[in-house]
This record gives sequence, C-alpha cells and structure tokens, in this order.
Amino acid sequence: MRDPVQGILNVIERDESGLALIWCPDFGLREWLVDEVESVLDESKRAFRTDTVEGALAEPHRLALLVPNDERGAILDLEANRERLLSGPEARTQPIVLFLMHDADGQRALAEEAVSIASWLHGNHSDPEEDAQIDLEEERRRFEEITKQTPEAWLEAWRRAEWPQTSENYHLAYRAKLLEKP
Amino acid sequence: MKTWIDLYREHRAARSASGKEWSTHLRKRLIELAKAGHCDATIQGRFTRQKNGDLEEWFIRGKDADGSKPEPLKGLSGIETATLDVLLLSDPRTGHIHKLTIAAQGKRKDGSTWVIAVHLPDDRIKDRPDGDRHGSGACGHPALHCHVGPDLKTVPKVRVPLPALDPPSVLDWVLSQITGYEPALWSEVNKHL
Repeated sequence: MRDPVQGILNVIERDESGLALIWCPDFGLREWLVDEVESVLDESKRAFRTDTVEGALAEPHRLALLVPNDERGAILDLEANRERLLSGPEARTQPIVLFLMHDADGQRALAEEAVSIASWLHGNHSDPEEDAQIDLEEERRRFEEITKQTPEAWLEAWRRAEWPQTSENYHLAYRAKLLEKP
Repeated sequence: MKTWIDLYREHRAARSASGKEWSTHLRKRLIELAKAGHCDATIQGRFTRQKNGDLEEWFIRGKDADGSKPEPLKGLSGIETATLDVLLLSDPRTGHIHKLTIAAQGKRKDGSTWVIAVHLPDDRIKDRPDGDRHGSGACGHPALHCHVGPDLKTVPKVRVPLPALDPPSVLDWVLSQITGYEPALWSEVNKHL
C-alpha cells in the first residue's frame, strides 16, 4: 500500500539539506496539509512556516515549510538562489519543504521557467492525496485473500452480528466499508 | 425526552464541527502517548489514511505491517496487556466524520479482560436505512457512546452516553482512564472558573 505520511517523510529525509516539494490538491486543503506535514516532523527539525524564499534561506538550520502566496515568484526566487541553496555562507542542515498547488502558477513556472529547480526536485516530490488513493481492485483482492470473502459479503455477516466484536474484526469492518462497491 | 433529542442533535453536529483539523490533533495526542512511554515512537509516522472516492479511512498502520493493526500499549499500571484502536471513516474534503471507533482493551495482571470502546456509528444511509439511529432509541443507544466492561459481548452491554466530543477529546478521555494522562488538570480548570 502507498502511504501518504510515509511518502512525505521519505521526500524530506531523502535530501536533508536540500529541497522537497509537496503537491497540494487546491487552496482549500493546503493549510490542512501543511499542518499534517508539520505534525509528522520530529521536534529537532524546529520546523517553521514562511511564505518567502528569503525567509526560508535565512534559517539554514531549521526545516522551512515554504508556503508561498506568490507561487511563480517563489519558483523564480528559488531558481535565482540555487547557488545559495547549494553552497551559501552556511551549509543548510535542514531542508526547505515547498508547497505548490496542482495546475497553478507554480507548477507552470516550474515546467517553463525554472529548469534547474525542476531538475533538482525531480524524484524529490510527494503527492499525499495521490498516495492516499487506494488501488481498489488490488486492495479488494488483498481483503479477499485474508477473509476468503468479498468486502460486501463480509460486511453483510458483520451487520448480522455473525463475527465476534474483536479489535481485529473492527479493523476489517472499516477496511471493508472503504472497499465496498456502490 | 428533550435531553436525548438534544444530545442526538449535538452528536450529529459534532461530526462536521472541526473540519479536518481533528486528524492533526489526534496525531499530536498519539505522539504525546509515545513520549510518555506507552507506545512506540514510530507512531508519529504511522497514523495515516487511505481513500476511495468520497470516503477516507484513518488508522494506525502496524509497525511491521502494511495495513491497520491494534497498537500495543505498555507501561500501564495494573495492566498486563493492552492495545489501542483509532479508526475513522470521514469525508476526505470536508473532514465530516461518518464513523469512529477509539478503543483500548487487554488483560489485567490477574488475567481478566477489560475494554473501553467509544463508538460513533456510520451515519451514511448507504450503511443502514436508519443511518446512525441504532437500537430502539436515543437514550439506550446514543450515537456517541462508550462500552465499558470485560468485553463487548457480556450482558448487560453497557452503552454510556458521551457528550458531543471531537475525536481528539475522545482519545483524551480513553487515555485518561488507563494511562494517568490528564489534559484538563483542576489547577488549570480553576483558572477559567
């Protein structure tokens, strides 16, 4: 299974002194996603939020959660400051984690105006919403492998109280509901 | 009867009251639980989710497993074994909580079993025609209720009504019963009286 939380941790840990990108589905969920990322980080990273590249660069020993209001401006600033990121007066010990929205100015700027940063971020990005989406057929197959029943058949028996109310069966019931077909 | 109608209304309203914020606060509670030495520190990265269309499942991923597992607890006074379940079904966009289970259970040192299980039934009509209105009424089967006993099957199957708590507060309450954790010390409460 793909794990959205593990996906976030992987990109942050992959390049501890560099740059990581977290894709957000839209403005509505961005603030929540920033909170989520902050909550999975170890306190030793001393994470802080900033909306500017300059703000992120000013704190090389703290993990910067860069949530730009002007996404294109932030991408161009990162491109212009690539050398500072790589070898500033003080080497970074914590990464900058950039939050960009899908299909917005930042994504377009990354593709068209910031080749170096795009190349740096290649393979160092996470899309938690995509990672959270299950492969329905694969997960149903796994469920059937464990229970020898379809999620629908298992749930029917659960609703008739045919399965004991154990902790393990509660976990199966939640999973079956997620996998249930309309 | 008004008391029970009001309580049911409050339970329904609480499902959508805190947007999606509850997930981050739940994780913070679990981190505190780990800091207190009652569960593995890796729980910080294991409270996770998966979604299918307009339904999202939240759970604690097993330390060495792919899917959700009861989380082993340790260092509980007078308790030999214990596990914690944190399970939710919600709307991935709004955070509306369809279903919730926060439960702790295990064995005492004398071998007897115990369970504290808070349930909020699924409110989707798809699940049952009467949604979250289980049993015969809102007093005997309140929507947000807690089972306390040796297990979930021994009669009487007690369902204690709970006020309209959000998921982090439900977890606070369950943990306060078994770990000594107290999120609302009287010394702090007194300052607000």
